[in-house]
Amino acid sequence: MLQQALHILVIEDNPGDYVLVSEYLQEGFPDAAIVHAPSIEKATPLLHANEIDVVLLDLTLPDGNGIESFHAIHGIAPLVPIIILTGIGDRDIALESVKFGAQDYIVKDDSNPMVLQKSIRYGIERSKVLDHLKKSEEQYKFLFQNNPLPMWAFDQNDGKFIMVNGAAIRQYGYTEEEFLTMTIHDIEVFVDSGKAVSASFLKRAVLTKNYSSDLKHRKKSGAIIDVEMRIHSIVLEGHNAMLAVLHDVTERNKAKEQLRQSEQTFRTISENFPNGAVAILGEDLKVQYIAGKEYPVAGVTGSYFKNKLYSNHFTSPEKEVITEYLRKVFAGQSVVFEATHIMQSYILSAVPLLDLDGSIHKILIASQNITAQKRSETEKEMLIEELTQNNSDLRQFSYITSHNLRAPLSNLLGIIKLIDTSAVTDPTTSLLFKNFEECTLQLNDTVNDLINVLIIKNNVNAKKERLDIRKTCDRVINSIQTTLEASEMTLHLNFDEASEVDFNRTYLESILLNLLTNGVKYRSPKRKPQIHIRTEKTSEGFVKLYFEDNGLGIDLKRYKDRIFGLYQRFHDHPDSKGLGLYIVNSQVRVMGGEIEVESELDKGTTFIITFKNENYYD
Amino acid sequence: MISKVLCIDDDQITLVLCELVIKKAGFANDVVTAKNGKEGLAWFSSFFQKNKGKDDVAPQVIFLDLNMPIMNGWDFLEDYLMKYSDRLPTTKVVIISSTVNPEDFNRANRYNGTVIDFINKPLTIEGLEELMANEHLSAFFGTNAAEAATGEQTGEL
Repeated sequence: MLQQALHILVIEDNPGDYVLVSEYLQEGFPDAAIVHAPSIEKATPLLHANEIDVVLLDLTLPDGNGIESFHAIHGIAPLVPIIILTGIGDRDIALESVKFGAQDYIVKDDSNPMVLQKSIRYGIERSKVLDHLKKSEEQYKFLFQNNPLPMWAFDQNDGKFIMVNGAAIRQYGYTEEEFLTMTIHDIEVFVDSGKAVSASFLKRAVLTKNYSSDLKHRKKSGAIIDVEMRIHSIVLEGHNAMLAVLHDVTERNKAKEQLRQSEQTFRTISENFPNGAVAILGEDLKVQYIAGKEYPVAGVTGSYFKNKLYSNHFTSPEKEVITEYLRKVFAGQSVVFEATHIMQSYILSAVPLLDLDGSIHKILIASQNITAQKRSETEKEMLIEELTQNNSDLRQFSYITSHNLRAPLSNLLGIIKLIDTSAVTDPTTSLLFKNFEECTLQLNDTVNDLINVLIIKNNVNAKKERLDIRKTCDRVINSIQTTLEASEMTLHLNFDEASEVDFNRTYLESILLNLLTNGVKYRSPKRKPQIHIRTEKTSEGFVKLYFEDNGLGIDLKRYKDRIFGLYQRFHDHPDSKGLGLYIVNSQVRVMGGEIEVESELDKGTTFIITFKNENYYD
Repeated sequence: MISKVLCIDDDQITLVLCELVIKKAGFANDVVTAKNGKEGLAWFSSFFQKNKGKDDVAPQVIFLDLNMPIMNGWDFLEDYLMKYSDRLPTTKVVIISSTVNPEDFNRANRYNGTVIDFINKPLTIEGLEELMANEHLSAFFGTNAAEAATGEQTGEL
C-alpha cells in the first residue's frame, strides 16, 4: 500500500507504554522503521532530519506537559501529522490538540493494532489533503495579490469591498484600509444618474456568472479612467461576492477616438473633394473606398464603384492603360495621367499607401474632372494662335506698305539729287523746284520716323552689348556739335558712378540724340541752355541715367499720361513731330529698361532711364 | 572704273536713275538692265551661250532689287549662285531695296562673299563712292576717285 517504508517516531517516556505501542506498530506496519524518543529534546533532531512521516506523541513528557508538548512538536514540524497518545483522564487535552491541528488521539488503554493502524493511515492521508489545500490557498492568494491587473472582491448585496490587490491599490491610489471602508459605488462615475447602471450591471453579472462591461471609475486623485470590469460571482467567507478583474482602457479608448477623428477628417476631405473623387484600391485593383463631389462616371453615386475594378467603367483601350498605371503604383511609383470617359476628361493621380514595413497593399487615387479647364485651355490656345497669326499678318502688311511707300519716295529723292537747279532760269520754276524738294524731304523724314517706330516695336531681339556710356555720349555730341554750339548749350557730364550698360548700340545713340536735340529745341529763351547728364548705380546693380535740362519744361499735370505717346506735341515748335519721346520710350522698353520724367514748367525737365544690366558684376 | 554693271529692278524710273547716278559718279562704263529676276538670269544664260565669254564682258557688280514680280531678288540670287557664280568669281552682288523687313537684312548676311552690301534706296553718288571703297571693289578704282576724274577729263578732251 505504501511504496516506501514508513518512518514512525514514537515520543514516549514510559518504556512500558513504548514497548506496547511498538509491538502494535510492528504488527500493523511490518516494514515500518520505528524510532523512539523519550523526550522533546531527543525528538527535535530526529524531526529536523525530515524523515519522519508520522509522530505518535504522549503528552506527558519529562520536558513538556499536556498541550505544550503538542505545540512544541507541531512547531518544529508543522507538516508532519501528529497522533496524540493519551491516558483515559487526559481526553480533554487530547481533544484540544486535535482542535490545534493534531490528526487524532488514541487512548492507550483502549488501543489495539487495528485502531492504531487505521489512525495512522487516516492521519497521514488527511495531513496530505490539508497540506494540499493550504498550498492551493496560498497560491490563490499569491495570484490575487501579485496579479498585474487590478483585482478586487466586493459584496454582492451592498457592494462593500472585501479584498483588493496591490495593482488595484496602485492604480486607484486608495490604501487597502481605505478600500475596505468603501463600496464599489463610491468609485463609479455614472454617465446617467443614480446607481441604475451599476445595479443593472450587477443583476446581469449575477445572471451570467461571468460578465464584463465598460465603465468609468474615479481614482482618489479625481482622475476619471475608462475601465473594462470583468466579474465572476463567488462565495467568499460565507458572503455572496463578486470577484472583479479590471482593465484600464483609457488609452485604448483615446486611440480609438483619435482614429475615429482622423477617419472623419479623411472622410470630410474626400467627400468634399472638388470636381472629383478620392478612392482607395486594394491589390486586386478593386475599389475599397470612394468619396467625392464628382465621380469619374457621370450621374452615379459612390456605391456604384464599391468592390468593382477601378477601371471597370472605362472602355478599351483606356481601361488597359489605367490598369497599367495602377500596377505601376503598386510597384512603388506615383503617377499622374489623363483619361477620358464619355466626352469628359479626367486627371488621375495615384500614390502608393505604404504599410509600416514598406510593403504596398493599397493605393490612393484621386480623379478630377478637367473637361472645363481643357476646353478653356484649347480655346485660349486657339485664340493665341489666331492673335499670333493676325499679328504676323499685320506686320507683313506694314512691311509691304512701308516698302511700297518708300519705293516711289526714294525715286523722288534720287531725282531731286540729280536735278541741277542752277540750270533752271525761270525764277518761278526754280522756286517750285525748291518747294518740291522741301516737301519730298519732309515726307521722307515722316516716313522714316514711322518706319523706325515700326521696326523698334517688332525688333524685340535687337542685339544687346556692353556699352561705355561716356564714349557713346561723346560720339553723339560730336555728330551734332554745330547745333549744340549754335544754341550756346553747355553740357555737364559725370559718369563716375557707373559708365557701362548692356544695351543696343543704335538705340542708345538714338535715345541720347533725341534727348539732346529735344534739349536744344525746347530750351528757354530766358536763360542759356544747360544739360546735366550723370549716372547712378542702384542697390539692385542697375544703372540710372539722369538727363536734366533747364528748358521750357512740360506741364506734367496735364500731359503726364501722354508724354511718351505717339504724335504728342507739347510745344509749338516747327521741328516738333511728336515722335521723339515715343521712340525713346519704345527703345528703352524693348531693351527691358524703364524711363521716368520729372518736370516743372519754365524750370526744366529730367528724364531718368533705368538700364537693367543683366550681369553687371561679371 | 568698272566696265559693266547689271541693274535688276522692276521700276523703270529706278533703273533710269541708277544708270544716271552710276554714270555721273564714274562707277561703271556700261550699265545693262533687267526688269526682274528671270530677265536677269536670262541675261547670264545668253551671255554664256552666245558669246561664251569671248566678245562680251560679264558685269562686275549686280545691283539687285528684292521686291519684283515674276521672280524676286532672293529667287534670282539662289539660281544665280547655283548656275553662274562659280564661273564668275569676281562678280559681286549689291542689294538695293526699300525694304524695312528685318528678315531681309538677316537673310542678306547669309550670302556674304557674294552679297557685299545692302543699300537702302535711292542709290546716290555718295552711296556709290562708299561702295568704291569696298574691299572687293577698290581694285577697280586704283588710286580711287583720282583715276576716275582723270578718265573723265580725257573723255572730255
